[in-house]
Amino acid sequence: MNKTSSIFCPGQSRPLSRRDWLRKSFLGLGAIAAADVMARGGAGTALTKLHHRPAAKRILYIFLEGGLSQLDSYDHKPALAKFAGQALPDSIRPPQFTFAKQGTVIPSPFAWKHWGESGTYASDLFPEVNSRFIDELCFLHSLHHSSNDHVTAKRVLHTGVPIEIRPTLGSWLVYGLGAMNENLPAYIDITPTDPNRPTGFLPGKFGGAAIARPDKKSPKLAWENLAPAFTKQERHLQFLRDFESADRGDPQLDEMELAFRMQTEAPELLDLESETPATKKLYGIGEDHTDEFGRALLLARRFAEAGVRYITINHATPRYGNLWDQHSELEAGHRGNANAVDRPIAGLLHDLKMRGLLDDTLVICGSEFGRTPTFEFFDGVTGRHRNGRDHNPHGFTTWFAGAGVKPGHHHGATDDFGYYAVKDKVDIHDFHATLLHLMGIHHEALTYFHGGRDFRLTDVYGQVVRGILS
Amino acid sequence: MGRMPMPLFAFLLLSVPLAADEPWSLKPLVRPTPPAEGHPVDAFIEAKLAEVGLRQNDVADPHTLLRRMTLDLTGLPPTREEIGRQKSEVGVQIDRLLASPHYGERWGRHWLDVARYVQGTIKVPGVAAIDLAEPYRDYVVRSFNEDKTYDRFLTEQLAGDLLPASQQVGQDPLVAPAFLSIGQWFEECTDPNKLRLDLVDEQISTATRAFLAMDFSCARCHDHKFDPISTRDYHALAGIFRSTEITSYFADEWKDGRPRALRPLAAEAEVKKAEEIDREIAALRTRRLTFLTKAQESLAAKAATEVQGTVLAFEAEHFDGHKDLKTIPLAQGEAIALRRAIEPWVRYRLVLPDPGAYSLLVRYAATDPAPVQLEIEGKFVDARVLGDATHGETPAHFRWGVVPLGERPAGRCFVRFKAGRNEPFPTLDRLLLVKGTPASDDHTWREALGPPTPEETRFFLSETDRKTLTEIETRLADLRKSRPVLPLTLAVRDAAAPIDLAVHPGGNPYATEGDPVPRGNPGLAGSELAAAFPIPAETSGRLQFAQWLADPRNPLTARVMANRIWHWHFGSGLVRTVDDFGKRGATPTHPELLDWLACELIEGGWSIKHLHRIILSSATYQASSAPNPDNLAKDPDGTLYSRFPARRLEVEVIYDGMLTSIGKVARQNAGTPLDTSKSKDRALYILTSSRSPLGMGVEIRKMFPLFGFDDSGRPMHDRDESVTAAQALWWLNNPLPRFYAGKLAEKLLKEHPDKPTERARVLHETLLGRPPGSGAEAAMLGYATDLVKNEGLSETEAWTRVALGLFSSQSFRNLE
Repeated sequence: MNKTSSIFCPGQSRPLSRRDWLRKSFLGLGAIAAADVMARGGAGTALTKLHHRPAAKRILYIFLEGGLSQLDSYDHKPALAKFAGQALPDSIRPPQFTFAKQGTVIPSPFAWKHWGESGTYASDLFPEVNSRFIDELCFLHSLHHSSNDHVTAKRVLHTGVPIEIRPTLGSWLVYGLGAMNENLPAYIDITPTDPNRPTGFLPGKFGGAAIARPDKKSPKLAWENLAPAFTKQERHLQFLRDFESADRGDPQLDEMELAFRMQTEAPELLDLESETPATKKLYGIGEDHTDEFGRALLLARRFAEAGVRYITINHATPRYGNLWDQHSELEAGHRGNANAVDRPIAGLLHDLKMRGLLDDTLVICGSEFGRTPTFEFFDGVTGRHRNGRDHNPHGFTTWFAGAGVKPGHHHGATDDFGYYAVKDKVDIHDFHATLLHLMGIHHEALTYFHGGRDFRLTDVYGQVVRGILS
Repeated sequence: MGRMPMPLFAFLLLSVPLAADEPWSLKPLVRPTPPAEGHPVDAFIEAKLAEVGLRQNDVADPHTLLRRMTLDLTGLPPTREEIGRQKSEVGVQIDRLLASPHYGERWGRHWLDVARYVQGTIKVPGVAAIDLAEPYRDYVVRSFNEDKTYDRFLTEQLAGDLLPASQQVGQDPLVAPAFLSIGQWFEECTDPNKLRLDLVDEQISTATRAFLAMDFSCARCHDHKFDPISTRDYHALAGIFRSTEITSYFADEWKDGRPRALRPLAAEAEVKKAEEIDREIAALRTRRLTFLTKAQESLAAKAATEVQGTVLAFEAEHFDGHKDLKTIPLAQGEAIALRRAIEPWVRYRLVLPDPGAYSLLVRYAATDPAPVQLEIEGKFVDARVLGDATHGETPAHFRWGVVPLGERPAGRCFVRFKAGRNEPFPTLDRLLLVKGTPASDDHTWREALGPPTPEETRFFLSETDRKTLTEIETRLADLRKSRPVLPLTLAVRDAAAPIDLAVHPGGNPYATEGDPVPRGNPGLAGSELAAAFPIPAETSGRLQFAQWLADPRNPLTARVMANRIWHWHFGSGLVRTVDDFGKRGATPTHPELLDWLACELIEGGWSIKHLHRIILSSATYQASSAPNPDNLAKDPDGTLYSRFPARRLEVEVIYDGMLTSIGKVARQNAGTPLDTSKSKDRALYILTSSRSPLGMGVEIRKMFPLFGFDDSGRPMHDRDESVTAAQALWWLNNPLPRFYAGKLAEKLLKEHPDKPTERARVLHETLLGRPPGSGAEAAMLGYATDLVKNEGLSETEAWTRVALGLFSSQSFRNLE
């Protein structure tokens, strides 16, 4: 049991766990009643002190749902052109169970060149990001896991395990560090396809607040139940205070008071209209194909500024999510998707930098997995498409920018065909250990007692990837 | 133990007595003597309180106690009539509440938490809705209402289908084993071998945590780190569940499906009758096909000719069970095979060369009539199409059908065929787009399509042959009509050939270690008990596992359940970790009381209501929940029970509280059987009963997780009771509480038009179970008056806000 997370109670054989504390002790018990508020502030967090000085205060995770092809963006493999139309050589064995039937090797349809001073060889999929920021990005080419369907792969990326429902990285961070702004949730999912992601064994309050995709009914990015449903709410709060004092003598209105404060702070934050036209232009707001994601990223920056710890921004289709899932029409699909995010991402990096936020903010961009060097037999029935790639979790690329990572650096490598990570392999627990490290947490120290044992985000594994740290 | 040869290892495991440091929970159950006279529960509790010199709170006031007991036992607040009658003796009230048919709805839900039952769709991607779990839910409710003995209850859930015929009473044993199949497992797993074992693991984890408060799944990969559970124990149990089938089939390719098995929920005689008719139908179908095949042979061979200028290019969008739309170019005339089982549909993109009337000719087969909805350019056409059965789906059974598209402009045209949820969908084979609207009895176009299939021959028959065919088909139609439509329930059955599993080290499905472990019961309750129920070779062993659990010598079963019952009454167990009685779990705060209750459970014939009576009649249960400096200092977290532990109510009770305040739930009388048709609005049923108030369905669905309900389909052993700012925002601004507050205000104003004081009193009593004090009354009246006089709001709006305020008050959302 993690001593820092327990409150020892005399006369009881087992110390009350933090979970008991948070779940059970909300009533008129003096100091304990403020448990939820404390969970947001420094005093009530799982860690009494950080392991080391954190490089990053917050994380923005740009998640390209469906599977960005590493082979068509940042992991160049000349062998693909050489072996085009041929089966993979015997040295590269596809795994026993793949998502779909595998065809022959197809080359990347995109133009590749050297970018920036670092001379990073990359495709022209993200021209704005590449031309302006390639020297600031830190590439991880050897991330790998073994879930080759979207659902479990996303769970692996966010929680470390495929099947079981465990807390996400964001929930762990909020549990460990609390919030920097007590009027706001500390963890926000912008346009998630999987809203209200369960928090596993952590109490629900450590979950992410979802900002839903704008639709016809509510055209603005907003979160639920925030807009006042009726006027004169100060008067209503006064009634609650009067009534509870008279009726029980012990008004416990901390949550209600916090809700009121959120109502005043949040709408301002959500209102993008207060930004200058120049800033909006930076993110591509107002232009057809970049408007939606530009707004999402601008909102993310505003949350980051306001002190939110962990923000995911999901680039996904409204219903099923897997926008980057080009089993066919790789070129058109990836090009269209990249057009929608390239300007906004470059804009975000620029904006964060100008505001000095990039110094203590870590930006991550990647997918739940990459794609195969071979085309996919599109369908068992027809098998006619030969221009898409299947899922490949065995070696794919994710990039970082900002706090604590080496700019212009490349870590790890895949084999000649970009199928498997082979050099400096980084598994999902290493990835998570590194992110916690950047936030000042030793991944072995952040534990939660549940079902008879201490759980960690990194289970019993995880090595910090020192190679990418600045 | 090192690398000992496996048989010797097994021998040691069975014969060596448990290690000295075994968990407390495995010590044999011996009935302790209460330390004092009087109520035994109070005697045990008082003894501990005396150690710290603390006095237990006095009994709560009658209003609070009535509200506490009523919410605790029925999940509903007391009615105003009941509040008026609250002077009656507590014992009488306990009896009345235990006899209430709503008791099962409340306590059944507690068990459903353990059994990981979720209403309707599970909100986890990749886990399909578990249809037909509702009969299991109703079974659990019924079992609690009947006070089914706990040993029988657990046996039915694990092995109801295996009980000897003499014990197969009613339908309960058929429904109960759904306990094993309502779990969430990842149906789309690409590795079938791993999934098979994952599925077994899910059942083992759920069952061992539910009945033994030990999670055996820890021992899937390695011997349990803390508790006496070895990988051999795990695999002995895994063999039992691996020899049990919960899917109707199990495809290696996930796209081909792994649906949960179903069975008719009907008496054996009825099932037999249906099977009889099915056999007759099958025989008639064979006769029919033979007849048609013969007729086909006698037809003169016709050379195929082209249908003039009619075939255009097709593309189809195909929903194949994976959540992606796929656009597939079709070869001329090609259709598409559908795999998706639920709500199947297929859409074709046509390009019409010029305006005019068009039809689609579709070659299809459908064993039973499967008329599909036709959607043209996003608009549904009234009549269904392709409705004739072809009585089989072999190549011989395919037949052409005509789907008229009507007058269309030139250019793109989307045509979709769709079936409803769980409706059959015909198998499509070929498609042709033709101009005009060919009559279905016109031979010429059929002839032009080439040699007929036997099924297609029906259009070319002679008068007499047609008569024979009509006779057969009329008989078939009659038979189909006479076949009873039997309701379905999830089915669990033993595999044809039970198998033993070898240890899979690290849970790896592709590696085994040593010989297969014989199916058997775990050794943790002693080797004698483990060997007491040998598993016959031809059965899975579920029944023997249940017998082992239900044996009074098993030290865990009764302790675990007694602790759960205590937990559900007091918000936390005597062992706080209700699902972990291992060494890393909590130790009991009152071990003797727990053992005494466990013995009462067994000796009371495993009656759960017997335990309720004991607990509710104690001063410990009836004590006031008020904190005071003394009990806060000496019993800060309430584990000594110096006061009743107040806590936030579960989401169902909060919802039902709002619902009943407007008179929406008819109270059913104590002693009558539950009429679920009158209860359908309650939170227990609301997500599957389609009875949400208009526009509120989504809000209700969202309310559940907001108030600590985990809707991801995992067991909930201990509900999350936290109070959050998100909940506060919900109380303020969400339309759902506002909806009920509005209705409540209207009701109050209608019933008490000119008496605001009476209104305030009724509101307070309805929601909080007691009349208001003068201060509270003044606050309510003052607020309402202020809103009307100074803010210019209507009386209804003003009282809506007062009601909303009371909904969000602590007294409403807490059990005290």
